[in-house]
Amino acid sequence: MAEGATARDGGGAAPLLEVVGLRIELERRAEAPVPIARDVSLRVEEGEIVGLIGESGSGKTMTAKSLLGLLPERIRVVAGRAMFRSRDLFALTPPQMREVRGAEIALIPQDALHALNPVQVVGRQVGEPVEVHARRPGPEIRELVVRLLERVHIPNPRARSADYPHQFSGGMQQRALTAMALSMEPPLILADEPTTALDVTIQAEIIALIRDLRAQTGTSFLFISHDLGLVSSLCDRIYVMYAGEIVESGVREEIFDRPRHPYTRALMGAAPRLLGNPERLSTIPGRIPQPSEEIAGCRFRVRCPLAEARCAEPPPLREAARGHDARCWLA
Amino acid sequence: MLRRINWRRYGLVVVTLPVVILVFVASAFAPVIAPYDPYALDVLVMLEGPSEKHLLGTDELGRDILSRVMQASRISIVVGLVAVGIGAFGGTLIGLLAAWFGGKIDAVLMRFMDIVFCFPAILLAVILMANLGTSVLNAMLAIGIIFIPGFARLTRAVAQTVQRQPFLEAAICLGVPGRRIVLREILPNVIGPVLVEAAVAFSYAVLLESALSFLGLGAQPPEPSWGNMINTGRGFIDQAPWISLAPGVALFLTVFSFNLLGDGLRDVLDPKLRG
Amino acid sequence: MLRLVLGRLASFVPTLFVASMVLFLAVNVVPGSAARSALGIHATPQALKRFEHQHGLDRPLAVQYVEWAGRALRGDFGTSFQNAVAVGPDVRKRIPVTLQLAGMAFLVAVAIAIPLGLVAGFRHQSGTDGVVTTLATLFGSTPNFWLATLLIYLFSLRLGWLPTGGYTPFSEDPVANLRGMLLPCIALGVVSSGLLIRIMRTAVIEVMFSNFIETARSKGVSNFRLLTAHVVRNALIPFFTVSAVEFGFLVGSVVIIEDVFRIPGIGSLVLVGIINRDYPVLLAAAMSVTVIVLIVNLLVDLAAQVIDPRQVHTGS
Repeated sequence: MAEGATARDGGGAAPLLEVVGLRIELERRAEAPVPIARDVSLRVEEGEIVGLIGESGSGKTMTAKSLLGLLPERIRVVAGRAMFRSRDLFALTPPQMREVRGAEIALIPQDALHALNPVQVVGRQVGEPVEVHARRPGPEIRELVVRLLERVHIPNPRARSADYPHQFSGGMQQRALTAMALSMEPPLILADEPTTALDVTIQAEIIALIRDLRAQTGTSFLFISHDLGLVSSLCDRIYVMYAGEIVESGVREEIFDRPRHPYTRALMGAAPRLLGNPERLSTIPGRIPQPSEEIAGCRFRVRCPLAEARCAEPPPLREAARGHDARCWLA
Repeated sequence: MLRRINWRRYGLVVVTLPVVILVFVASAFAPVIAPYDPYALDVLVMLEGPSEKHLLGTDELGRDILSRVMQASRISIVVGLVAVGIGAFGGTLIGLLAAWFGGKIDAVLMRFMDIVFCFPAILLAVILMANLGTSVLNAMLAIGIIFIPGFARLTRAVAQTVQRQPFLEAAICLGVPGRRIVLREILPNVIGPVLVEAAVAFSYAVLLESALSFLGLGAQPPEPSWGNMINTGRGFIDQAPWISLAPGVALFLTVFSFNLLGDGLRDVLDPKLRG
Repeated sequence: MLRLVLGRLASFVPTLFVASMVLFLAVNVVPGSAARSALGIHATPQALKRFEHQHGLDRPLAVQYVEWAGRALRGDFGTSFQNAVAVGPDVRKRIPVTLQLAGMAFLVAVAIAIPLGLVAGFRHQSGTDGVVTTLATLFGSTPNFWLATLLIYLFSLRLGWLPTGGYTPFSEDPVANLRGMLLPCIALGVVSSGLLIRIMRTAVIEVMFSNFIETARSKGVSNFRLLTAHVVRNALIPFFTVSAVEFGFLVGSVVIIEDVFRIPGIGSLVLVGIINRDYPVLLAAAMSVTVIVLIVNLLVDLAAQVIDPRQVHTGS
């Protein structure tokens, strides 16, 4: 913790999290490994909400999981580093990584309805990070849990903390998971599609909650979603991921008002300006390529309405405007 | 690139198949390859330990144990095969009928199967044997009947999954005769899982037969079976433990390798089933 | 909760009836054999007729069943063909013996299965998993009567540590009772653990793939805490439900093990009934075994529901 504190004091210049050249591969028996994320670089500043957007299968969730060392079996980080408070997350030993999880970087998981242990009361689970990392006495933890549940607007928090997950509605489960992520007041929270399983009004509630929390605590968020509308309303900066690559990045206004990459434009064209239908991305013609498919040059080429001869060469991610990068020859 | 055996998938079958074949060969050619007549008494060598002449020793009547273990394997194999045959045939038939007709027929058949299934198998076998009379033939029948519910459940489950596939639903709507659909489309899908179950059931049949013979309800002396040899050996276990030991090892190895073969077949036929 | 118990009971009663019918049929598969075996092969046709009439065996099977079931419900299992003694009291005396044997053997099996299945499932597809799975098949492939014979040879005859068989009531001498039960319980328990290990392993693997396990990991919990706080309880729910079936097999094996160790329980009574062709005895003994299996299934099922808060709270 002392180490982290000095890093923070070290200056506003160093970002809280900086991922450089991340490559994730799925290992296969007797076959070449499949790249899931290629050369992904991104950063999260102190107090910033950063969006990572892409269709399912784009590698965004695996990118987030890699930061906590939670990749599934046979999926591995093979290159790159993730500097967090002057430490490389990918170089940590398993015990060191356990110290980081929940305490310094927390996760709000996908699919709220299956993310809580069905046979343990909610309060115990919300307080578990504190129980594990801070080892404070039981009554103190229980008080903290009540305050946390209150903060995420769970009515009657003292009584509800003794309930089992199945007695909570979906929105309440998601709010409990948010409270759980907050419990150690970590500087960074990874929110992995925290609203997909929920209906629209509750979605908006969770988004408002995240915005409030950032304002109150200065916590940074890496917000992962396939929902452009959601991301653009919440995030300061946005990374767009396609088929394992970052194809565009920049501040919200830049991306939203002046998208450079045809994929981002297609996403926006496909996205009605209303919150709602989560299937909206499927209206882009064609489908996202399988990670194992070899595509020479730009990986969006096959679906791109503007593709031309030079797209057979892989385009670099280059600055298209100030603070706005795009991986496209036409940008 | 060299094509290698996928050990994770085929390993168990590759390892256990030779053992299983060995058991079959030993039992098929027992009269030819056995060193002695398994029924020949020799009062001069009663209760003798393993020696060069009698590799596994002799029993209380001076009979060669190796020869008797080999002879006994024939009963185990035949009982196993016939019982599994009865169980697989009856069970598959009932399972297919239940799945195909559904509704009341399904409910009644399967409810009955469930109840038979929840009886302890040995208890049922023992009671059936007591009534049918103690003989190897009846042991096959009793054990076979016990296997029917297991095969029926399995077949019904697989058949129901197959029936729900769109191409079959279409065929049914088009009026393709039911018998044709069941035999040509559903049955082939059922065979794989039934085969896996059969390997495991076979090992269980061998166990049950030896248990019945052990209790004196199966093969009758002087006919040797692993079960009655182990039982006889109990009386002489202090002086001649090999009488019980040898048939027990043979029984255990047979059951063990068939169980592993079943696991192996499961890996080969459906790697996803691997827990 | 209460509704749950009542629901289970409601399905228990018809099952019991059908089971008793199946059993009655199985015992009477060959009509007329009862008299012949009771009186011996030299009995005259007149004597056979008289015996059948005397015991009501000349009436239709359905009538016999209804009468037998009616009396059995009142606890009257008729009298033995052999010695005309009432069967009921003997059965009642033997039930606790078998319950103790089966219960302790099941404990042995569970005590082996839970830790091994937990390790194998947690280290799914590792070397440890391979060893444990093979061990499970090995245990399950061992004939229990042979294992029992070997145990007697080793621990009773060679080492002289434990008795070769027999039974002392717990109330008379607890130590002697437990010493006598040890080998039979191990013989039954080790063999049964084979299947139970697999059941536990599968249950653990299922739980390990649940989302909430990843949630727990993301909080930085240690592997030990992950197992104790999150995996075990969730895995025990399916484990107990499925293992109830294995308990049925175990109770069935009691027939053999009681014979090997000369334990005067229900299992040895089944054999007595068979050897003497004493159908009232056989029916009463077999029916008690069946009832024990059904009741244990019911209890285990209910226990599994009690561990699962989703079941307890719905409907309350």
